[in-house]
Amino acid sequence: MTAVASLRISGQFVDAFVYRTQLYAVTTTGKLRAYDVSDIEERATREHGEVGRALTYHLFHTKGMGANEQQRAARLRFTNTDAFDKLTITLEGDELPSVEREIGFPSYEVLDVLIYNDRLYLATDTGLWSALLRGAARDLELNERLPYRCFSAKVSRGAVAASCGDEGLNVIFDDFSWLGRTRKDVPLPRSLRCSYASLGLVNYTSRSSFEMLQGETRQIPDEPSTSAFVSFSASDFGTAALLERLQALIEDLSVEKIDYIFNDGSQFAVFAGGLIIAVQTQYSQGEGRRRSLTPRIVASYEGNVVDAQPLGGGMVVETHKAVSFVHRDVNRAVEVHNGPVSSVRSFPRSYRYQELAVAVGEHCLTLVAALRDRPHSGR
Amino acid sequence: MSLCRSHDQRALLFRFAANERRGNLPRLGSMSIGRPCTAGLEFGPTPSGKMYLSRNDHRCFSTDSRRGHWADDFPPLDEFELFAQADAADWQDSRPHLWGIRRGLVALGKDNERIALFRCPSNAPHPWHGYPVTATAPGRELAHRPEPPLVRRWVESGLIDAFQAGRVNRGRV
Repeated sequence: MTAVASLRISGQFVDAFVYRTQLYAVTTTGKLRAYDVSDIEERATREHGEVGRALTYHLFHTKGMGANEQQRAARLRFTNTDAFDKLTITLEGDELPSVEREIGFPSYEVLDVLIYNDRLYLATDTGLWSALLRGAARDLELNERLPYRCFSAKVSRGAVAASCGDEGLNVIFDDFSWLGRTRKDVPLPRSLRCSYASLGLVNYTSRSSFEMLQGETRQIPDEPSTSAFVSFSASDFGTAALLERLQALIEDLSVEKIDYIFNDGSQFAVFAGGLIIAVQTQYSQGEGRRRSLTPRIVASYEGNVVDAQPLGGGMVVETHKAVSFVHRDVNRAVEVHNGPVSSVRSFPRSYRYQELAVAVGEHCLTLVAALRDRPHSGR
Repeated sequence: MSLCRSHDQRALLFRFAANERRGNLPRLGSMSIGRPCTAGLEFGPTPSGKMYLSRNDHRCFSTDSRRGHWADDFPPLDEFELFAQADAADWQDSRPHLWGIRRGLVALGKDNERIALFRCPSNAPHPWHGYPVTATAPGRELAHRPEPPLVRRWVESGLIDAFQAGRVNRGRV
């Protein structure tokens, strides 16, 4: 059974990000609007009763994390996922309590949003900017971090990786001075997007080409369980190595036939010729190299893939016309948003929001959770 | 001048002539009728003196799948009018190519493309030509994405809204 739970918040936005207990949305008027997740939950419950409460459990509390007793009880009352299949809950974004702050840019020049360690990063047409989220100032106090057009930004272990097109993959190491020495490096000359994969950094030079860097970390003083990236070095793993493995499955596959590639940690998903192929990779410390395991076809797709993000047991796939949830192995797509979107985002590395995706359409945000087949303990 | 052999082109020419007789064409005067040549239909000059070639290889009857094809409901005359509009409004990037969109980002390409790229001819006497593009084409993510100042001007002129501009800048169109 494949089912999704979804909730819409009406309004005009270009991007959204969920962090700690807040949902941040960039409005088309150039403001950063913050909603308390608890306000969304309360409004959904007030307007739709227990099914609304159960819905918010699925959206905002992966494995029950942070859920209260009432939400857990509501979730157990609706174990049949059919309850959510035809349920459309829409909340008026302007009627929900929120706090707005001026960004200082036209909204359409914001190309990516990232929040990490209470710091907001905005990838924009004019550069990478950061600001502390705390504080009551009406305007965000943005600091310029990189002066180039920045398409996307990702962060892990204190290292902010910014994809700046032909200005390269720019990495700001130790951005929180955990090791006491923030520094910048440009390990690769071209980058359109990037994604961390455990101790690796996958750099995409096009929709269908990537190269992988292997990171070196150092332990943070006084925090034995935490380490920070200090450098990245080239590896021999990239599109060519992955393709070679895929050709064992599809003989005539070539780079030209690949529509899109993304990775969820060390697992890659390749969209080619209407098929979605998953390939797990492993880094061998002994050999000092990464290798691909046996690829497998997990689903099929139609249309031009614009973007895809991992979600639950599958992925959310954006085309020019809609956003769908595709469950691995079941090969059934469930449309979760009809119409073009400006952003699709999931939070696979978050504990609490691991099963949440946010699609930003012309008139609303759509929050989506993939429902599990079996109820989990909720504890 | 070579004769155009394409049935579709003859049909389009006939339609233009009929439209012009009915007074349905915008005020482009004598440049509204394309002149057939081997490579397509030539239009112009625009008020700034540019000639434009609607090339056969970017039309639906071309079998070259590598090239962007204009939509069936976007005939060569529309193509030229968009070029003339881009030229008049100076929708030029730093290379300097011209770019065009329809109000509201309506599709103009056969594969649902919504942006037109008019390449600056490398040899000055040659006419300009254009084709529909999308930044979602593998390997064309940057080359087929209009520069931000141009997108800002489209917003300011009311051709697209902030949401649509965001999609263009993010390479989703």
